[in-house]
Amino acid sequence: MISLLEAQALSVGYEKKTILENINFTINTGDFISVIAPNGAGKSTLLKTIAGVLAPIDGNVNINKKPLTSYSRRELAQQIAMVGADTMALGYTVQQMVLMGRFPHIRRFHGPSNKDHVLVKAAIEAVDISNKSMCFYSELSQGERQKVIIARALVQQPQLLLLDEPTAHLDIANQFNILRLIKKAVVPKKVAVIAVLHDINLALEFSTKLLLIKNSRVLAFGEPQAVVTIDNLKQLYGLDFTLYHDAAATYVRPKFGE
Amino acid sequence: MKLLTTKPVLLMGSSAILLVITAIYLLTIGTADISAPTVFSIITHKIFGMPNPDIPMPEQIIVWNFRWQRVALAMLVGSCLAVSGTCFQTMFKNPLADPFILGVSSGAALGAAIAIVSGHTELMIILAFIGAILSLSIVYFLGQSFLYPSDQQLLLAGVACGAMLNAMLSALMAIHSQQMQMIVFWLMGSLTNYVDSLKPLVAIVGICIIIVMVYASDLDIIALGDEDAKFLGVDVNKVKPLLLIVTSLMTGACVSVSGIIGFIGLIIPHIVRKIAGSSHIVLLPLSAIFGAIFLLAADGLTRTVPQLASLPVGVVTALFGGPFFFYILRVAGRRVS
Repeated sequence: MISLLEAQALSVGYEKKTILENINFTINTGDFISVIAPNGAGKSTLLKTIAGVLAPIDGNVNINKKPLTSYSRRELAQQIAMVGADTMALGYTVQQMVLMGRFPHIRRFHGPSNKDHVLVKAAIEAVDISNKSMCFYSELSQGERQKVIIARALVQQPQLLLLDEPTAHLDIANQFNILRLIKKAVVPKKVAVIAVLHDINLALEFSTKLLLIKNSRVLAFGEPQAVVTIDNLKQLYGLDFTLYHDAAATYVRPKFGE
Repeated sequence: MKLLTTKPVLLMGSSAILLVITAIYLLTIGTADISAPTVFSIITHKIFGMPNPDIPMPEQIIVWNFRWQRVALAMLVGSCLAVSGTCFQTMFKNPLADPFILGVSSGAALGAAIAIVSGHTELMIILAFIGAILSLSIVYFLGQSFLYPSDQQLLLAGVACGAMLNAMLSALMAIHSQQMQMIVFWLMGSLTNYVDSLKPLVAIVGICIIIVMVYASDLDIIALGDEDAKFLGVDVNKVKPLLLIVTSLMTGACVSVSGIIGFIGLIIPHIVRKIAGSSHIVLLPLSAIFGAIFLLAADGLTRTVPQLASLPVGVVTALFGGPFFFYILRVAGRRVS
């Protein structure tokens, strides 16, 4: 395992409003980390800071031992890709959308090469939407659109993949399929993933580590079995939870009533 | 649904041919009867140095020194406005954005009006250009100095600045009412203003369009939103200001020669998007060609229909562009939604 990203004494937020304070963690190649926190805890803000779109208020983010600020936007996009909740775009085909992921790798005055087209085709196949590749992106269903965005992130060939609620607005089958697809694509290449997920059970299923955030600070960071405790969940959400274990998985649900 | 644009090259080629035909047709219109093949060989001779079979000098002078001037200006202005409009609509993610939205036209108009009322009509073009660039700079730096600079703020700054400059223009016209007619005519847009040489304008528009073309794939991605664009590696904070300045510069240069020709920068980008999709490497050159054809056609109407002869071309573009635009929206609105 190689250390890919280090957050050191990182504080994130917007001008005059710090949202997260003094965050420390290290992410290694191949990690699948889910960020678990209540609404408004600053998960998206953290992802934006890691992607270099938002400047940190304090502290450092290092990628491959080099500070984030020493990378150009193009260089960062070669290392980090982002999949958000729902991207809308009119007038582009699926194939054109996915090809945009090659942008950071294509030099100016050079069109996309054969290799770029091969990668795009492979990614479209990997997310299982080959039959829609010449369709307009805007005419797809939400689940299909999300697959396109994942294919776009895959052709960026990142070392780190950021997922900001990638399964929001999706039905339960799509939620599961999308995450399984991502996992399948990133594991062989040892791509690290940081995912913001609201569904703790999905996070337990897919993550190697969980990052729990409460009141602007890290509540716990570690292996799912170790950090998902009744006590931690109570602190996070102010609710009593029950933990269930069976041969296949661990899962949680809130306790109802008395 | 399958995309209609599997052959963008074919589309570009056929519209380029249409442009050439339209231009040659317009060069044959006039009191002197000069045939299309004659016109063609004069133009190819003058531009590309092709061999010139004996064509009498008067015909050469009529075509090259008089008619070509107007046709070339129409093509330059039309393509400049259409390309700028495409760029603005993408960058502001606003279908109403046009090349004049940052106050360029009002600045140019005020500059031209100052030249007219001070009796220095020979300075009209240069003052209009200075006015355009000044107002653009003011809007741009005002927009940047807001607490939270954003595209919306920049648009608002443009609208506010435009309103102020228009008020000054009205004041100027009210005070110097004897020159009002000349100012109003300039405002309506015309291709008949006398220009010593089109070369500087060709250079400015040419270079600016090439710069915009270089950033075609950046524009594709910027259309998805600034944040997505950053994630995909587009340096939005550098590309956008550059393109804003480049497009406004060429618009300022065109406006200072032709006056304010409305509607092209608004409707041509929409029409081309409906035909060719949203990929800017196709969209931008096609906008340039369509813009040129549209303005040539509008100018052609004023020259072939006697009842329209006294109208400025800017009036014709809006008069006929409006209904055409409604039609396009009605037909294409059903397809892409």
